[in-house]
Amino acid sequence: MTPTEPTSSRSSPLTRVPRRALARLDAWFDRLYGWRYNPLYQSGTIAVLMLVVLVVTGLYLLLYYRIGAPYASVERIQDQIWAGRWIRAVHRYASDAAMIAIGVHALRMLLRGRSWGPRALAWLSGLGLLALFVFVALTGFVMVWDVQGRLLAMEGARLLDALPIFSEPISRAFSGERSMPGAFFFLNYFLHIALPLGMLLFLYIHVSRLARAKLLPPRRLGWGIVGVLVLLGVVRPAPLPPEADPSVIAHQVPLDWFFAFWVPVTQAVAPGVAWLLAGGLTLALVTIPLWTQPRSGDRPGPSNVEERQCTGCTQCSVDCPYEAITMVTRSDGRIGLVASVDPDLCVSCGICAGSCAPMSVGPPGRTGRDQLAQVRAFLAEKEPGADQVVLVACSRGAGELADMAEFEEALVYPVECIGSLHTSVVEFLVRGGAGGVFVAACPERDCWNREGTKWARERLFADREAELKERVDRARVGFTEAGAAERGGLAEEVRDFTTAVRRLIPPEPEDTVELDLDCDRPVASSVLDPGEADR
Amino acid sequence: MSGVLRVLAATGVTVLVAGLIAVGSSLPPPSEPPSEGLLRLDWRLRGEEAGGCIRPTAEELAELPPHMRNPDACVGGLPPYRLRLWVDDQLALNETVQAGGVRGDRPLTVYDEVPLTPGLRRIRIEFAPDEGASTGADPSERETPETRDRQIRLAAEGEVQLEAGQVILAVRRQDTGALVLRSPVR
Repeated sequence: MTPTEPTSSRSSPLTRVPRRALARLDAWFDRLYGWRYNPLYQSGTIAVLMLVVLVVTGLYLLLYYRIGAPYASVERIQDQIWAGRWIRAVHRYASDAAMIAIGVHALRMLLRGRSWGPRALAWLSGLGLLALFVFVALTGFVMVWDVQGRLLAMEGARLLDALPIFSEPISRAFSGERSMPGAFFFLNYFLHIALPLGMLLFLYIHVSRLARAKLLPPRRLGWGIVGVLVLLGVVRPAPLPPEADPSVIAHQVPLDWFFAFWVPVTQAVAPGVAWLLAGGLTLALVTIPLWTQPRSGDRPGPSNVEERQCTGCTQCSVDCPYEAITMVTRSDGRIGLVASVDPDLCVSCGICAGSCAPMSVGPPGRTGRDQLAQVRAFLAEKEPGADQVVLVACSRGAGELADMAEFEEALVYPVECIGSLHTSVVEFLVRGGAGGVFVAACPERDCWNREGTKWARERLFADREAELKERVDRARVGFTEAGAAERGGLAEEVRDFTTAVRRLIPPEPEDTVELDLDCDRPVASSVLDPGEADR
Repeated sequence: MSGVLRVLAATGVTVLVAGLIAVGSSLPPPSEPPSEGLLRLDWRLRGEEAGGCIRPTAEELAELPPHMRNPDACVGGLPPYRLRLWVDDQLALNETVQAGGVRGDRPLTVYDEVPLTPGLRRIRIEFAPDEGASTGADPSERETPETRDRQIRLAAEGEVQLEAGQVILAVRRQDTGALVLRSPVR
């Protein structure tokens, strides 16, 4: 038996090329900003931060906005209100930055296959969030009632008029027969304020299946982005185009392309064609969870629990990044709790397998016991020497080494996710004769399964439950984080680690490695045989 | 990559993204300036004000819930109208306008935009019941030549000096309901 076949090697060619391009970009950004502050990894949290900035700056702008004189009030904000033009600029640029962040976030999720199965809810609610956000932004542009606002309103009305639902053309409202009624601006004002509340609901649904969801980026990155936006606002305040004027044909209207990208398309084609295009795009996006999921035979199954071995320690339930594991009353007659996996929530990340000292839980073929069988076969086949390092690498990141047998003289041992790695595998390798084990994980914020890197590091070096036993010489265990396209840096680290390992006194390989699979975590109300409890 | 180079590159990328936001936030799409003017036709005609309105019969009223029995209401709206537009005595528009709504019981609405060559243009508009056209709506089958004669006809005529990119409106006056040519209001 060999280590788990990586899912990455089973991805379609359609996504493989852009995924590799994204990995290269990630690696480049890692080098520039460091993985902790890599904005590409933080795209989702940056989008939320931008929403916070929009709310704060929006509240200030609303103090001075007047429904009865929309354009004049924005002119006043721009020219007379303290810091008005800068705050308006930050408001505008934050919305644009949010669109970029949302685009990057969605693309990452799509290319990395995180859009189907239990993650489909996050994908669909994310689309809902995006649609709502674009609509809210459009109401904001219309509120200004400059030439762009009017153009957006008229294009929207022209599209709606093509639908057989209104008895009179909505476009008439913008003909210039009479002044725009205050009710129109009140409606925009109301929607611009009320709909973001609906976005909160979508955001709640979006992260509802995540444990310990991170909503904001690291503080330094967050303040850095806000600082750049403020600086941009000061250097180039958001322009205020001329007031809407129905007596002239709109020409050279400055558009915010992040939101008005569709205008040139709808202007160029008939409204019916525009609706067909919009419908087709919506259908394609909404059905992504269907056409990106692997065929039924290739879909990894959800984790199973061996109730007989489960001690009810709750660690898998704590570690699961998707809240897919709950503790329920045992059904085997013993007293206490047992882990129960909800297959509708389980993404088969295998992190529970790495968290379970007695190896009772995990996806099919990837439980701790399966991993032990695999590592035994690996040792028997490769017979690593005392001067050789085994490189345990995440197959989705960490240089994408899954297809290689050796890397920088180290034997490659790929795993689906470092978070699913049972520490006994590392112990087995060290005690089985390898000079050292170097664990290469994805960058923490880019873990395919959210918290795999964090939990693996803590299990190896910080005594987190299912920890690497004390008897394993930590000098023989290394750990690093590397993205899929960061082979260069990884190679250097592997070489350094190998050199360090070779300086150590060669270990004596053990013929029979006995492992201690006891759970250190206190077990509430103990898992006792009923008879034993009576005694 | 050295530390200084890394900081420079990171700053460069940040400035690039900020520049993308600044430019993309307000950029007009490439287009030629308009070479024509525009005549925007925009009015509506309710059955009640048009005259020739077909009133509900006593039987029809009896079928309605008590609070909806309005003897002055128009049933079936108006028969179709014909819209004709002449620019410099050339027929530029000639179309039938049906009453709105699925049952054809909503007002007649005209909303159209006709490009015009800049210069002094002589414009004539007629909006009158369409002789010989059928509404297809059941109640209007009771239409008679008398009801048709009572229907109002709208017309406007005048010369306008039009510049490229300028918009002229053909609308009904709010006080008299007459069709007029005028500039739009902000």
